[in-house]
Amino acid sequence: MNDHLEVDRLKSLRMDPATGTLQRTTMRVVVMASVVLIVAGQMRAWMGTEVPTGEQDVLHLLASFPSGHAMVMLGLLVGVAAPMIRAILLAAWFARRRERAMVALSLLVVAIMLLGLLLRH
Amino acid sequence: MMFDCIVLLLAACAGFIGSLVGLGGGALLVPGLVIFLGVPMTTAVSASLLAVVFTSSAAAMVRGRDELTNYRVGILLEVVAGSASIVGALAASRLNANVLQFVFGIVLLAIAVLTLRKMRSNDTRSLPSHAWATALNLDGVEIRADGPRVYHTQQVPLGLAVMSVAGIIAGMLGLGAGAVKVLSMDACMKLPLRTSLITSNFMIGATAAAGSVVFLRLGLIDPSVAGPVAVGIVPGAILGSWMVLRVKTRALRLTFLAFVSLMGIQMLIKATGIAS
Repeated sequence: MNDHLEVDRLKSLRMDPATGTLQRTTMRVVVMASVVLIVAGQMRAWMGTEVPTGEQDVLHLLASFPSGHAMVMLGLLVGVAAPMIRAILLAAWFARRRERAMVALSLLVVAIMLLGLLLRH
Repeated sequence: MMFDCIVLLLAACAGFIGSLVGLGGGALLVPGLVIFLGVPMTTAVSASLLAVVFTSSAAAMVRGRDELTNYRVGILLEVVAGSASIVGALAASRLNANVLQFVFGIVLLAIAVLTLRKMRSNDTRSLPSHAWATALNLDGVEIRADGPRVYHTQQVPLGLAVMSVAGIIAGMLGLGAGAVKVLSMDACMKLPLRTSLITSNFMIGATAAAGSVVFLRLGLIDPSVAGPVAVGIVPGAILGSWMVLRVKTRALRLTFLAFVSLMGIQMLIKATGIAS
């Protein structure tokens, strides 16, 4: 009997279908947007016969938008944002469940992912 | 244009084979870019790290809510893995290319051995949960053919310690380090293997994103390499994930591991300059 109660309790901790669908749809939109930007940028770079730039400062490159390589870089930035958005969605899900410790940990993960931005060039 | 197409094809193959044998694409991608295409090590690592982000997101958009994923364990471990990934990426940006190639070679050989190692038995999985696991609701239930089975999350501090190694490997070498992450959850925290595998896939994207931001900030991403890699790896990884349920992968896995070992040795030779 206790085992059944434990199984039911643990099953109730799983992600609900609505949150799962939201997560899947968001990931689709973000990844597709990212891939479209990269492909479009790559095409533009080929057609405009842009010379390979090598390693580049992101802001400097983005300033040349809509050059092909700037579009590619923007697409890469959107792609990198996907796991951050996923962690934010998880934080919202934990908040709805009133799991404060997990909300804090999820937001901490987002902060860690953004920590690199604070580095000096 | 020809170079971009070759990179795209290499990424598609790496993503396909990597997800087919469950090792991720980075183990093939980085040596492929460095050894065959002459791409600088840091550029290859940063492109591979971005590819890991895309592979993980592609899996999430296909799978979405997954009953096997233990998001609580994933988030807790990600605090350490993400931080370690930043340290790894910073190290990669400062280390000599030969040193990076040497470390990469050693890690490739270690991953091959780790993957070959037989997974441990279930004998200790019924022990009680660690105190942190109880406080954070880290336990779960696995639905099996013979009914639901409760699992207790154990040795959380040890799992976190191993995860820090996985994070450093990911950030420094552009790998998903899935094998080490699975080791942390399966062997240390006693999670079921399937849960460990799926939760690891959730985590690798976040770990790689933390490292990627460092490379982006330091201007160490080459869009003409990273772009084709990101575009190529997604369809390759999706096709590989689809094929894995339909083909017998044991022989393929052994072949791949032998190939990865050869790549590891090749990287060691290149790093130490023995051949020259």
